Order: sequence, then C-alpha cells, then structure tokens
Amino acid sequence: MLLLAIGGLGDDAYGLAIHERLEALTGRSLALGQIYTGLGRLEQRGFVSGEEGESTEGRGGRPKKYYRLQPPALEVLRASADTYARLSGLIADALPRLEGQA
Amino acid sequence: MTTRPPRLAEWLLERLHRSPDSRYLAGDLAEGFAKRAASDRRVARLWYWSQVLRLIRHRNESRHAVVGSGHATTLRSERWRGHLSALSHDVFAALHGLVRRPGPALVSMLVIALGVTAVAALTAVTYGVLYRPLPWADAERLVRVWETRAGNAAPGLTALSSSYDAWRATASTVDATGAYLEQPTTILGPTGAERVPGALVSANLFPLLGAIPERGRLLVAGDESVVVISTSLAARLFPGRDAIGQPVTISQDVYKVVGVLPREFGFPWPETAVWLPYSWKPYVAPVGPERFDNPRLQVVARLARGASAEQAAAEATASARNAPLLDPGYENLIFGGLGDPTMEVTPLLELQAAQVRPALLALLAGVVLLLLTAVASLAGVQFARTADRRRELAIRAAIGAGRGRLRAQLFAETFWVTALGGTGAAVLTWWLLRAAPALLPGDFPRVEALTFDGVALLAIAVTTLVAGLLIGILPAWQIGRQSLAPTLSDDSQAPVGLGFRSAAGRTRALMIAGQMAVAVLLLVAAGLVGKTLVRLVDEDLGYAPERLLTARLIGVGTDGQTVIDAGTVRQLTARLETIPSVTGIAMSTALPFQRGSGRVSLGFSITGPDGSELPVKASQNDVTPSFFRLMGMSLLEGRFLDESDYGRGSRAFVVNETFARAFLRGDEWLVPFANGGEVVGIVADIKDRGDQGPVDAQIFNLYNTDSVRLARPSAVYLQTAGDPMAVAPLARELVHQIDSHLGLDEVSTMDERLATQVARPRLYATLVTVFAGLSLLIAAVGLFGVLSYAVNRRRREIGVRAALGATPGRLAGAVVRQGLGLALAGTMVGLAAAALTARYLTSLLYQVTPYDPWIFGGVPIALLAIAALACYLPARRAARIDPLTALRSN
Repeated sequence: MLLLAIGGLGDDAYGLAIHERLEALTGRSLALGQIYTGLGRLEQRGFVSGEEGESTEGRGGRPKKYYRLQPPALEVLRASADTYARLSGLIADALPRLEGQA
Repeated sequence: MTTRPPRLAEWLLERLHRSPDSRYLAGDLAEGFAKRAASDRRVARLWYWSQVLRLIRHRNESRHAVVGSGHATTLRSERWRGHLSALSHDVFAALHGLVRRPGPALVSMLVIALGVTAVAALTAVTYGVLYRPLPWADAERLVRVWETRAGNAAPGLTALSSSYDAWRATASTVDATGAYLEQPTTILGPTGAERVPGALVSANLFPLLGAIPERGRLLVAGDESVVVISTSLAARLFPGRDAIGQPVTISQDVYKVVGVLPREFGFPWPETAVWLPYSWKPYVAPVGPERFDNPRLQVVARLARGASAEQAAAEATASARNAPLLDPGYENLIFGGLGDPTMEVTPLLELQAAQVRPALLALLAGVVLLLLTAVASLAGVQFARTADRRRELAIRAAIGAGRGRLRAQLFAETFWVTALGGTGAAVLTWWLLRAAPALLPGDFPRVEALTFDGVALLAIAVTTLVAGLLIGILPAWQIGRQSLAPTLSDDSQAPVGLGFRSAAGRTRALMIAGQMAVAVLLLVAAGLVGKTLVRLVDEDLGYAPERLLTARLIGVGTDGQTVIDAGTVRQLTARLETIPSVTGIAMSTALPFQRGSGRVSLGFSITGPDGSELPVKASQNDVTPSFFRLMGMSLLEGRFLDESDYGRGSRAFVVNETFARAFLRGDEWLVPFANGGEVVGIVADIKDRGDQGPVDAQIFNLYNTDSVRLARPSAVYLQTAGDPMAVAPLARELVHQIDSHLGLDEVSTMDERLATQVARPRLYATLVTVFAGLSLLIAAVGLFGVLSYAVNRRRREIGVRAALGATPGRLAGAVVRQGLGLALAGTMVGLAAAALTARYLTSLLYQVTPYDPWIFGGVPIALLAIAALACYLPARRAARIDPLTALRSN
C-alpha cells in the first residue's frame, strides 16, 4: 500500500502527502508515526530512497523528505500483482460453483 | 493569522520523539495542522494532539521491541534506559487508550473517587473525633469520674462533693483532680439578657488542664464575685477595650472579669464562655442544717503514671464508701435510688465521643467494605478485559516482552484511572471536611477540630494505592499464571465457563460469590438503618404541634431582685397575645427536646391512697392550662389542667402514660395523692427527650405564676396563624420593652426542634442509605460485568449446543441456573455475615429488630433478581445467534 501511494504521488511523495493518500485509500485514520516507521523500514531494505527537499509555508522552517521508488520495489509490486491476479482468477472460477451449491 | 500547533504537544514531540526522520515528521505535522487550522482550529488541535500521542506510543513501542527482543550486547545503562522508556511508553499508551475510549475508564475513576472519598473522609472524621488528642495538658491521662448508686448515675454524670472530697484527700492513683459543673449562664449582653454556656469550676481545675490565660489571671481558691471569660465573649461585651477589671452582670449579681481564656482552651466545651469560681463546704453528716450541703460535681482527674482507670475507680469507690452517709431523701432525689456509692472512671476522650463511637466505627467498616466491593467490581471488569486481550498479550510475549513487562503494562493502565480517581477523591474529601461542621448535627462532638490534614491525605494516598494495586494485581497475577502458548494457538479451547474446571473459572466464580456476599451484607445493614429512618420520620410523637414558636424566657437582675415575677409574666402574656397573628400562648418550665437543666428525672416519694409511701422517679414540667391544647396532646383519661385548678385548695396533676403504668397500678388510675395532690388526668406519652430512649415518667403541674423565680427557667409557646418565625422579632422586641433585663433565648419553631432531635439518626440513616445505594449500583455493575463476560465467553459452547438442537430457552435457562447457583452461595455467606453483624447495629436501630424479616428476605431476593438478569440477558443473546456465527466467533 505504502509503495502504491508513493508511486501514485510521483514527484510529490513526502510524509504528509503519503499520509493523506493512504488515509484516502484505506478509509481509516492513520498515525503519521506509523507511516514514517514503515518508510524507514522500506528505506532500509532499499525499496525506496529518501531525499531532503525544501520547506514550504506552515512547516515552521522544517524541510520535507521526498521518497522515490527504487527497482526492488517494482519487482515486489509486480510479484504481488501476479499473486493477486492468480487469486482473483481462482475466486472467479470457484464462485459460480459455490453459488450453485448455496 | 498565524496559527501554531499546541505548544505542549510540540514540546512533547521534541522531547520524546527522536529519530533521524523527526525533523521531516515535525514539519509534516505542522503543515497538516496549518491546513486543518484554516478551516477549524479545534479540529486541527485535536488532530495534532492525537498524532503526537500516537507517535509517542508508536515510536516507543518500536524501540521497546528492539530492547525487549534482547540484543546480547545491551549495556546495563541502556537496559535501564530501556526500562524507563518502556515505563513512560506504557503510561503514555495507557493515557492514549483512555482518551480514545473514556467510557469504562470514567466509570472506574468515578467509583474510585467516590469510594476513596468515603473512606478518607470517614477516616479523618473518625480520627478527629475519636482519637485526636484533646487540647489539654497530658490529655491522654485525663479521666472523668462520676458516681452511681444502685446502678443509677446522677444527672450530668456527677459525683457528690462528699464522695469526691473523701477520695481526693488520699488518692494515690491520680496526680491531680479538679471539679466543675456545666451551667448555662444568663448574662446581660449588649441586647438584653442572653444565655451562654458556662461552668462553675474549682480552683484546682485550671492547673490540672494546664490552662494559660490570654489576659489577666485564672481563678484561685478563695475567689468570689470574679469571672474568667472567653476571648470571643470579651470581644463581644467589651469591643476595643480591655476586659480585665470590667463588670459583667451574671444572673443576679455583678462579677468582675479577672481573666480571659483563649479559644483553644474550650473546656468543657469549645463554646464555653464563662467560668465562675466554685467552692463548697465540707459535707459533715445527714443531720443538722447542713445535711443538704453536698453539691453535685463533674470531676476530672489525671491518672498517675502507671495507674489504670480501673485502679482509680476501685480506689475512689473505697474512699466514697467511707464518706459520711447521706440523708436518704436527698440521696433518692439525686440518684433515684438508695445504695452504696460506686465510682466510675472513664478516659475523657472516650467519654466525649462515646455517643458517636459505635456509629462512626460501623460506618467506617461499611465504607471500607463498600470500597472493597467497588474494587472487586473494577478488578473483575479489568480481569475480564485482560482475559479478552490474552491473544494480544500472547503476541507481545511472543515477540519478546517478558511477563514483567506485560504486568507493568497492565499496571500502567490502572495507573491513570487510580491517579485521576485519587485526585478527584482528594478534592472531594477536602470539600467534605470543610463542610463537615455544617453537614453534621449540631451536637456532634469535636466537629470543629476537623480539618483536611495529614491524616486525610494519608488515608487518601493509602486507600488509592491499595485500590490501584488490587485492581491491577488480579489481571497481572493471571498473566503470571497462564501459559501463553496455548492462548496463541487457540484461545477459545480454554475452558471459560462459570465452572470450577479452570483456574480462571475458579477465580471468576469466587469473585461472583464474593461480590454477592458483600453486597448482601451491606444492603442488609443499610436496609435496617434505612428502616429506622423511616420509623423515626413517621413516628407518632404523641402530640401534634402546629405553627408553634418556642423560646426560653431569661433574665438577669441585680440587688437580689427577681426580675421575672408574677406581674412580669402576666404583663408579658398579655402583651404577647396582642400580636395579631398569635392565636394562643402557653408557658412551661421545660422546653421540649432540650437536654440538661429543667429536664431531670428526680426521685421522690408520693403517698398513695392507702397511706403507703410510693417511691417514684419522674421529671416534672410546670405548664399553663393552654399548654396541652397548643401542643396537641391527647388525653387518655380524666381531664387536662384548666384555669379553675388555680383556685382550688388541692394541687392537681396530670401524668403521662408511663407514669401511670409505673406507679399507679390498680383498677383506679385517677387516684388522689395523700400528700395534698390529685391526679386529674392521664395523657399519652410524648417523645420530647431528644433521644430514642424510653419515655420517662412525667408529671405536669400547674405553672404557678406566683412562684416563678429566676432560677426556674421558663419556656414560652406562641401559636400563630402564619409562619411562626415571622413573629419572632416582634416577640423579642416586646420582651425587651417590658424589661431590658429580659430576653428570649433559643427561639425556634417546634418543627425545627423536632428536626434537630432526629438530626443525628437521620444523618446516619441518610449516609448508610447513600452507601447502600452506591453499593447496590456497584454490585449490580460488577455482577453484570463479570457474569455477562463469563456468559459471552461461552458463546462457542452455546453455539455448539444450539447446533446440536438445544432451544434458546433451554440454553439461557442452563446458563442462568449456573450463575444463580454461584450467586446463591454468595448470598448465603452474606446473610450469615449480616446476621452476625446485625446485633452490633442495635444501637443504631429504632423500632426495628436487628433481624427484620422483610429486610433479611427482601435484600437477597432483589440481588438474586439482578444476578439472574445479569446472566439471562447475555445468555439469551448468545443463544439466539446463529450457531455458525458463534462457532466462528473467535
């Protein structure tokens, strides 16, 4: 999810934006801290890279940190997509039969 | 407008959150805040706070996970820091949880705050009234000494001067003695005559008590016509002047003020304002003109070191039996019986608080039990929630949290609840103790000494701590016991019914039964006292006074004149009757509901119709004929006194029912007394003694205006068409006009007198009823919590049974039966405890037997009904759900 959010935001992927995106995607209230923990973990594993950016209005002079997807992330995303595709295929096959039974 | 995030939250963020990314994070938060603040500042602040709190919690958790999983190279100091950070994490996490779901925590806090307040306030009152040292020198060795004959004490717990003198001369069990006699004293104040509490004191009393005058000197042997007064009276009589040397008119003489005593002295009572010298001639023998020169004394003594009250009593009794004999008539008059003297010795402190001691201790025991019930309920709920969270805890354990950590976490959750509850309790207790003098009945001993002090604070701290530990311990202990591995694999396989098959089940069963037992005990006690209150309020007092103003007529006069003479009384009644709304006026020598002078039962003898001497003990009240009508008394036989009795040669009496039963046995009740009197009527007993004891025998004589003397107090009764208090100022003014040396004292309506009479029992009953209501509520909440939790845990089993074909009704029935079995066991224990306790309550009860069947039957039924409901509602819900859902419910 985090990766998707970063990917979807493109060049504007910094903490608060990711947070808002994720809340929109999941429909739940999230803690900003959790997102940073997740981002830190992803950064450690080399899925994303962080880069200090400028400060904008309302930040009390503190900079933003922009995140960008790295190649390993794309691989993981691709693998997930495969898995989900297979799973959804299985469900699609099974559903008519199950409905017949019920 | 520039908007800034909440400073405290910002500060917390800076202090508690340090990570490589914290700068970015803080920036993000600030930006998020600014965005939200543009539309709604409140929303923005809330959001910011919630983010920061979650951040602190989240971050500490992740750091703790690292510490907890135990890097082998962790240094000692780092481990310590880890513990500290873990602790702060727990505490903040708990606060966060509290803010998110305040409902259950608020209930807990309220329960703790109220429970701790009740315990702490009562502890403070109990200590302040029963145990706080009295303000006099060597107070712990001070004793009161009085005399009994044939088991009867003289009025006011006094000893005869003969007995006192005989003992004092040779006493070895006491260091020092002193004597006094409490006496309401009439003085001439700035606005006419007024009565102040006073005492006649022997010269050795002040040194015994270690009194130090604020101004002037104390009384010494040989003093005459001098007086020592209190600081407050001095300020009132001689504002801005030195009181020493000033004259004060007291009763019929003028006294010179020689000393002023500070407020703290307050002996015998804090309000005592006047101390007059007291001396008596040594009593010789029951012959000659001095045979009655043997005044009653209230005696205080200081025990010698190492001597006990019993030893002193034995010594005093032996001495008193060697004292000169008394005139039998005088002895009977004072004691209402004849016999050898026996001296009683009781510590002063014990005696002062004797009346309220059992009640206070019973109440204290009650509230401690109440708090225990409350804590048991809270522990039960907490316990249930912990059990529900076993999975979560098991996961934490699996990722490396030790049991100690899990326990600490659970304690942290109770920390906030108890800390906030305790703070609330401190505020409430402070307020209650400040209000205590106003809330407690006027005659409650030593209320003026009550303050929010170290004792109250200590009581709050200890009770809160104990409550917190108890609430936290049970769940934590359970964690220590349970093996977490099976929990992780499949929680629901563990037996969780109400049965005794598992440790958890046993604990739960004990808790249910225990709560029932305590609730039954408390409610039975409360029920008994509550019923007493109902009896007191509904009591038939034997008379029905309506719109009656009562007052005491007092006066001072000098030069040996009697101010209140017959003419004055006639003038007074005539003038008072001119007040438009006054519809009736009566006078008597004794005010209803008044203790002390004017209402003592004296022994004397009457000569019966057959010429035999009949010893009687009765209190006397001289009344005008209209008294009976104004008081609404009911006549049982014969007639009331009337105006024609004034002109008759023989004295006419009306007696009350108790007198008639005790002394006028025989078919003919209305018998003439051979000694020139005649009983003309018998009236129903009236309960006007201000206590709940048996009514004493009473004789009503004609109030004879010709024999009125200052020494005889008089009460005035005015029946009015409207509000009785409305005529009070006018009545005062009239009295003052007739003679500036007269005054009206203790002006109040009959209803008010009635209210003060039942004030103390009513207070106790109210308190106990409030506690009972609370304990019922707590018991109900606790029972509901524990029972419904236990039933919910069985949903899986219920689901299986339902799947196997059991009907919802049968299932619910089975669950209710099982729960009720436990409740019943608890009820039995509670009833047994209540039966044991009830006899200690006897002193609090009035017209209610300690084993009142209605209460002993009703309380268990009501509680069992609650228990049944608490089982049935969740059981029905569980039985109605689809078996499949129930089976999957884990």
